[in-house]
Amino acid sequence: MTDLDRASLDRILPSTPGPADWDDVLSRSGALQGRRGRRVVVLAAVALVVAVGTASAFGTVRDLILSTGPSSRIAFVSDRDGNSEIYVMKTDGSGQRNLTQKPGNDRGPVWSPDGRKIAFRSDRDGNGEVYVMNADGSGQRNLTRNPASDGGAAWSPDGQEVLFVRFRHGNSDIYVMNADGSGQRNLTRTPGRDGSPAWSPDGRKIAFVGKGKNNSEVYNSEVYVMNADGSGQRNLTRNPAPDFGPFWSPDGRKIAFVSDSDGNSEVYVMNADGSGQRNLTRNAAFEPSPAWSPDGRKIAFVSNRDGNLEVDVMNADGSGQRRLARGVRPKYHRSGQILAFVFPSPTWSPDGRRIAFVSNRDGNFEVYVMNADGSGQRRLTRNEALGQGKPWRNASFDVSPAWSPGRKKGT
Amino acid sequence: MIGRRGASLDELEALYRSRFDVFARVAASVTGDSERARDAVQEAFATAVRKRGSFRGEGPLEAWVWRIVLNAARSDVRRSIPAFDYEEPAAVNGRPEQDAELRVALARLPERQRTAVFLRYYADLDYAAIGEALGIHTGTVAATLNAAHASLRTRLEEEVRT
Repeated sequence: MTDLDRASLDRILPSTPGPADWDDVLSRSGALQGRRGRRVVVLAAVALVVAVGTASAFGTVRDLILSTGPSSRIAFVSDRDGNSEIYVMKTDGSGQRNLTQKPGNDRGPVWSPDGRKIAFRSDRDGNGEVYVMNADGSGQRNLTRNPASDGGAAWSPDGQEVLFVRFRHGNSDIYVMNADGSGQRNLTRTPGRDGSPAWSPDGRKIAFVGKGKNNSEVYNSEVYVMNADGSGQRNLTRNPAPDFGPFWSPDGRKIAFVSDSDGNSEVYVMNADGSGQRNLTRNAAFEPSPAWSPDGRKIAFVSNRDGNLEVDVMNADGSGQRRLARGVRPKYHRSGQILAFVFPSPTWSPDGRRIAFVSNRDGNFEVYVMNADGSGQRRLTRNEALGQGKPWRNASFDVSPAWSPGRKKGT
Repeated sequence: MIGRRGASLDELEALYRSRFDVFARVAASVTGDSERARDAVQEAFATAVRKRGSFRGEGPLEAWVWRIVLNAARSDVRRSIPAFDYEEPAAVNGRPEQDAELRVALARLPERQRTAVFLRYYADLDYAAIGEALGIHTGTVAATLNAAHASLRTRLEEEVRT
């Protein structure tokens, strides 16, 4: 081990991210409350910015939720015009259209169950809000209208209500509102962060991720379930590691989630009451984003067995694990710092025959589609060389594909 | 130290000021992102400030804080990716990085092994403190570091051969 000296490790580790700031620590701890009210407000704003990252991560799994309805298009997010906008295209990649065309970033498109509307998150008014628009981009409306940062929208299966996550003062809660934005209610009301809300297919329950419920394990997170009115909140996972990314099986009887309990992220499945938890992946890999196929027989997931983020699939019992596609190879600065990172976000077509995903195999982040067995991989979007050689903030990404709810239609 | 309960704000501040760099950089090896590592360290110390009464004093305060920092960093990893890897051999000022092989070998270690390596050889913690920081037995620390050594050796040899 000739090289394991401090100097080598010092050269390898990323550089120090800015100066130490003890006052910031005290502010975050609440020890300065009252004394530095103004500063706390500023920090809260910063925390919100951080939370936005969280919101989009919380939204990632949500973005993939599919249900059934007419037509078939894929919504996605692209920043090819300089800020993030929501586009739609046909499933062969033709007819790409920018629906939002606004300053500010529009992200996280989620189709209404009937395929007629798209909810999304926009910061065009200065902080994150949940907006809704018609599927052609008309009638854009701010639903949340709140000084807090809102995001992570999830439609109820009947399309009447929308769940969202509100970040405020370093805390987040899950709210529900009517699809017109009226009747906003906090469902979780906990001191910790809650996110990733997911309706059960029958709309009666909501799975979500809760962090630090009792403020004892601030950096643990658990998968919870509650009734749709917020009552009966129950911790299903109860282990000291992060558990996250709940995804209901189409029949509502099981919940797939990701747990770090063995030190790596693995895909687990449990019964909807929390019983029968089983690690399906059992390997040293990082595997967020499990996505059930519409028929419930398969689960697509992301692995990094080889250092890149790949799209894999397995049977719902964990058997038959198989690599389907090269997904995302993280981009690194020469210093070793990550410049660009995007989840492959595998998402099933409503008929279960195809999977859309994100890959940067050609150098840019683009939306691809393939058959469910991995054959016929095709790039749908084209950013060409926009991102090359530029800092990632100037690079361009086509990400977060979301199939419109549709029946057995190919294109 | 023995049997003591609680840590003082002053002690935490002193630890923070003297070791911020080390905490932040090792956290970055977990998060893969300096800014998020910084946020994790800030949050972790804020947690330590809030929970300072529950420090039992069975081991060094720094080990107790490391555990909080690493948990904070790890909770971020699910939104990120394993830290170490790179697209091409890194170069500093046009010169090839001298530790490229080691960087790659470290990148391929499981996170716990890699973190143990940084805690031992960069943060200079002893086995007991590493155990406390990682939430594992002292004996397991030795085994973890042995495993890390073994695979680093194998990989570095492979790198040389290929």
